[in-house]
Amino acid sequence: MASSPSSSISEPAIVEQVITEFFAKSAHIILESRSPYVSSRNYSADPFISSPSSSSSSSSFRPRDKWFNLALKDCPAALENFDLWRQSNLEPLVVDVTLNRRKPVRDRVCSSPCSFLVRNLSSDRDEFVRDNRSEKIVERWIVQYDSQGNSWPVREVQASKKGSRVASHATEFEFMYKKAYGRIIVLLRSLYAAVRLLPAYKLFRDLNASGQIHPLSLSHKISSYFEPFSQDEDAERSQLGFGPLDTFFGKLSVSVNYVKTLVDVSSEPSTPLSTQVIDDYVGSPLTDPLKRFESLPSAGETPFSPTLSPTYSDSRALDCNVISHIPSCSLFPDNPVSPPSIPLQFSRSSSPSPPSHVYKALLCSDSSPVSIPLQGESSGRLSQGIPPSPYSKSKKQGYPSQVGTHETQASKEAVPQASSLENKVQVKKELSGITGLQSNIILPQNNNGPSTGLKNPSANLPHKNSRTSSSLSFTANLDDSDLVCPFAEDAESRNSCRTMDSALIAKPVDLGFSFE
Amino acid sequence: MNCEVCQLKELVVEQIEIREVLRCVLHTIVFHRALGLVRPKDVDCELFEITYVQCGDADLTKKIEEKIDQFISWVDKHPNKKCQISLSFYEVKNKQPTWFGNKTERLCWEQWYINLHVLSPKALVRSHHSKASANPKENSDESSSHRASLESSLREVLFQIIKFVNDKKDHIPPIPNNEIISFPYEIIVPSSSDSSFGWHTDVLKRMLQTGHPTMLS
Repeated sequence: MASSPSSSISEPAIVEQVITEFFAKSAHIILESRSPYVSSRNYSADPFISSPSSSSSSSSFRPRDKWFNLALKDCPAALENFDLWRQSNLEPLVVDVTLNRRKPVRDRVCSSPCSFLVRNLSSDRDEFVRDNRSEKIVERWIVQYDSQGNSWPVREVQASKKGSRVASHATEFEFMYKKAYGRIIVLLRSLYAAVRLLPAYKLFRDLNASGQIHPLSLSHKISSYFEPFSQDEDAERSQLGFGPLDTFFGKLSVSVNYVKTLVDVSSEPSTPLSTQVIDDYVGSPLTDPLKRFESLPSAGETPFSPTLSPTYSDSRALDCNVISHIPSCSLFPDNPVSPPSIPLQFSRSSSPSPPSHVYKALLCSDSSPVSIPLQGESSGRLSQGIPPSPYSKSKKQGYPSQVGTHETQASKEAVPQASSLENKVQVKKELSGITGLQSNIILPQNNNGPSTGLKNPSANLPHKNSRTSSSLSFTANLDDSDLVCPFAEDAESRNSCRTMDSALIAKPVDLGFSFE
Repeated sequence: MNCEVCQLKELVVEQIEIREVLRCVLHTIVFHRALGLVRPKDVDCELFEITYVQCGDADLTKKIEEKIDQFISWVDKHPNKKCQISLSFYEVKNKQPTWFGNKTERLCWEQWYINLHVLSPKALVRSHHSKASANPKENSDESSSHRASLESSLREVLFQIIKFVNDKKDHIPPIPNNEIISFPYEIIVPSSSDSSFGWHTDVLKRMLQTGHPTMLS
């Protein structure tokens, strides 16, 4: 049985945390079934399969699973921008799910910077493909909190006082909190079920399962603002709402504006995944570090540094069988860890390979770790030097500079890293002499270690280039449930950080259940 | 306490589709009322392009399968009928102790009615023949059009469940325990004993026993 919150000071913090977790869970539910990187459908570690017990075993759940009694799978896409949104002072969370259609225009003559060199497997010739993309927002999810919309029925409050002549403020708060918490549980269940019934889910499923290279892909964007659709766009759309949920602290709601009819993936032309894989690309597990690159006109003798993770390269190669044609200036930018332009084009790919958002999340998590606001921090969190509205247009431009700073500091501070950095410089020198081939292999140099959640043998490589133990553990210990999701706080650590005598925040699940 | 009732839209099903349709609907309803700590499990229907969610409780799955088996065997004996399956959630309360001992009562707080019109295979064949469609291609077209129509109706029913859950929130009792399936439930299918009257005799029996439809004792 949960104890009653006795401190009125803690109540706003509890409420804020519940709202924040509601936003986080909603985003997680949506992106888990829209972000191509994470396929909840392929989940195998289901504790219920191994354990026939009908009751839930708390040991198999992670702390963040207990929020609203809904255990979800890891979703790096949900983590990607949510930390940033967290700073936005409970502004609406807008998730646009976009259908991208790539219309390749083949051209033997060279090309714009956004073109790719593609090896045509049938003719065994290389062709430039201009990347003509069209985008369409197929779903717009809006998660909202309206603090002004507090229309908590008076009878609810009265009910809380029923049976108790002197109902303390804490009792009243506890009653209302539990009621609100239970309603949020139900709303999130609905959301979870509905996300799988909307047309975009079928598209997501087909794209994930096809094993084909499709001109179609799904991507998403998280922000806190949106531009309304035009009348024409509205005509083909439908709306589904969850809530608004009346709580004592305001109204919570989730809504989706979606396109009613989507293309059938099977009717779209696609290219089967070829088994012809360039296996000597940089960082390939098949590549001997000392091996010369046969496919290149000249190669130096310098071996590759083992710190170059193949994490991104191998999957990308499988993804499109595309060798990016990138101007040499962008192949190795001055800042060795600045994300060059080409990988960003892949960031919205629907391929099963890890998109660059993982890369961005990695950089973000390492350069400016953001934790869930603790009670005492709730007012001071904006003083961390993070812009209050991180979803401004300058947000993404901020990544390279952060990364650059980060790298410079790393090289100054960490003497043991010098060897790996030197190796990288050597690699850079070596490759800068050759063509721009394989750039997409090297670009995510992954100085921050293996990416979150990637199942890759390289993930177990020792991670040399880390500055702090916390950042290292976040990026390297992928299976550490407490660290995978930065917006999930461990109950114990929270308790140790707080002086609050209530167990409300630490054990939300207890609150949800113990009320009678 | 209010007992909210939801009558789901009738689904016209062939016998072969019953299991999948009932699984889909029953699991979706229970998922919305399983308020314990759940790790949802996505399940793709085999006959339809629909993914529904199970809450991963082995006992629940077993019970649902048993009830579906029971219903299918009833349908075998009573083909081409409209029928109802009900799912009720209730609370167990202790009555005031009397001279004759303690008694518990079940207070139903929500009832769902799944309405099915089961077409017998013969009826389908007759329907095909009446349209003089000796052509097997036409038959298969008709069959696939029926399947598409059922898929669309089933999707509508699932959204109806979601809408009901969103609209009706105030009647849910406090969560009594930490189990995945938070509340006791009962699935009632037509049984052989009340074959001539269908499922409704069961309701009548209960009404006679309890005197109030919301009290299932």
